[in-house]
Amino acid sequence: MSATLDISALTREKQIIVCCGSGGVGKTTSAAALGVLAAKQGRRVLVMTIDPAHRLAQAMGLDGLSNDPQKIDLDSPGSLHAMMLDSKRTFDRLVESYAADERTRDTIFANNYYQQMSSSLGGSRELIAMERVFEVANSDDYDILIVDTPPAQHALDFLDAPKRMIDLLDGTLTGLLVKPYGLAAKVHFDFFRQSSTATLKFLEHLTGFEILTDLSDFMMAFSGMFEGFKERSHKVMELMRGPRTSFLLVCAPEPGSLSQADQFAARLTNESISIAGVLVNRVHLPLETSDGPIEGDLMKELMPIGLLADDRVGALALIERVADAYAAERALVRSDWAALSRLRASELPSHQVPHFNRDLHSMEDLEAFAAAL
Amino acid sequence: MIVTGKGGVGKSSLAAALALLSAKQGCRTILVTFDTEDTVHSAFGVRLEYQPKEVHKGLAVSRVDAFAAVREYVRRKMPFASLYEGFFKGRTFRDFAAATPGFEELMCLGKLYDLATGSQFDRVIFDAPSSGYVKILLGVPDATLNVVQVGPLNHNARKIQHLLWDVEKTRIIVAALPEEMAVREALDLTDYCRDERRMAVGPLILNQVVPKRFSATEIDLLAGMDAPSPVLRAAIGAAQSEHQLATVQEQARQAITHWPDVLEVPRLLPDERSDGISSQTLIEAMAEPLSELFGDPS
Repeated sequence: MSATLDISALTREKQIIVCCGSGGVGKTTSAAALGVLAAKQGRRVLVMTIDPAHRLAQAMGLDGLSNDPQKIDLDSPGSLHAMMLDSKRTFDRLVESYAADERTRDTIFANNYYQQMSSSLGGSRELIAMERVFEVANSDDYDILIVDTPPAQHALDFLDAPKRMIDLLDGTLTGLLVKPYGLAAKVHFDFFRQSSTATLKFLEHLTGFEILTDLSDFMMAFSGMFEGFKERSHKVMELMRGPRTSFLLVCAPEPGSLSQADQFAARLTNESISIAGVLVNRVHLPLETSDGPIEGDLMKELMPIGLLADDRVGALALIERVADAYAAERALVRSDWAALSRLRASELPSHQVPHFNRDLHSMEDLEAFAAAL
Repeated sequence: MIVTGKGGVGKSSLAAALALLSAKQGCRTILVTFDTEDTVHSAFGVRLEYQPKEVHKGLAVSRVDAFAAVREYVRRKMPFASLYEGFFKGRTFRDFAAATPGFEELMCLGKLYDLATGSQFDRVIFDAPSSGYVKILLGVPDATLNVVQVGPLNHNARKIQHLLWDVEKTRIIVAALPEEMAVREALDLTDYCRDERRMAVGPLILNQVVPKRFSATEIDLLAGMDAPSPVLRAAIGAAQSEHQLATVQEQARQAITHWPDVLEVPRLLPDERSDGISSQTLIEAMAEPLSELFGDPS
């Protein structure tokens, strides 16, 4: 096994912990449990989720979370708040604060492309999550922010968001779409029709004229905000790279999930980001094992018990079932640890959280989880 | 057939099991995944590529990614396609794809449409992304139609939409672990697909169902034992935790007794020699309880 990851040191010292990982590995529950742990250590905590499945709310026993932090009842020297990110509202706020004037703002709000982008499609959730992290990190309301990243195809889509935005704003596409607007607005139809720009022709063939017009309108209205946006995106990346932030990969003890660890580490190192380690959930902990059959020993122990002494057939059947359950558990332990051995190569510190054999959906459950951290 | 569910429920194994079952019943089947981090299929052990690859008689697998799909589309549908090859390598096109929400998704769905309506395969089993992302994906044709009223994107979105809505042809299947939260989430997704996306749904597949081997009395009896050896204590501990899991699962299943159509797949244990759970043998074992999904084999 790789080195041990000290989770409690992270929650005590860091200002931001970003939980990454593919879906279904208990990422949301882990983020909530980290929050509980930090609050127990006396810190003022905000847990932020972007999860559209509202899982964090369920894990905390609430009916729903909103875009504004809500206080969670917890007996601790610190405090625990949780919120669920509303992409559209956060994006709107961002536009409001960067738009040069009311007209620009309204043009953007009314733009077809903006409406789709800001609500649910594409990578806008990731971008907005980054924005909100930045906002909260610069306020004095919390000591630590724990971020549950959106369920993504790739564990690191989250990180790419600001970079994608900068690339887009700096790219030739923006130039192509924005420049024609030096002409009067009415001319742009003709521009697309007659443009000798092969790229635009190609894109128009592929997607149609309309979407390019929308995109162009959006970029035009947005162009005054580019600098502000770019600067902000750079600052967000700086924050992510800084010593106050740690990234944590949340995994399940399965070959597919754990083989991500290497890619994850490589990517983060590439981005000069500090990675704390790997949190492996639902691990079947090693058992005392015996090479031989255990039925005989079980028999000896069960026999003196009155009930079974009277019912030898029943006792034998029970013993057989216990032996089966034991064999099943051993198979699970074996497969979990075979998968965990893959972590050795990555040399990332890791921490194993045991399989709880139940659904975790109350504060008591989260406290039990936090204790295992 | 679109197979989805929360991450970690064994969705890909279930989709593979269904695909194998379908092929064995004489249906020319293709199992499609979208661009994922797994480049090798866990059950069939082949490298996943855009070009369909045969892994079993009547069964091919393919991994669809947006860029390959756009390229193929351009090659087939646009005049002077070779002139545009250069754009795929350039940054402008990548920026455009990244900046246009839903563009990549629509292109991938378009490829699925072509596979489903083409003559090479009788059935497409789509190992779809997990629940959070699949909602976005299935909403893309709708959203596209809202944004673009004319042109090729509109045309393609409409085509895809019609296929998704066709209850005779398309069905979405949600898989879940038999745990309370997971089941609730699966039902939310099912409602969403049926009510908001107007798709045919069902049955709900419960995966990794643990057998209930002990009665409460037996568990109490075992708990009261003063086992002297660590191995025996471990064996009794294993019986207790299995019982706890089985009880939790039973409660979750009771919460959906009103649900008309539920298929249960038992938890399969990895054997001594296999590396992971989803070797082809295990996939076959998994397929058994699912056989009624395709009706009588013909």
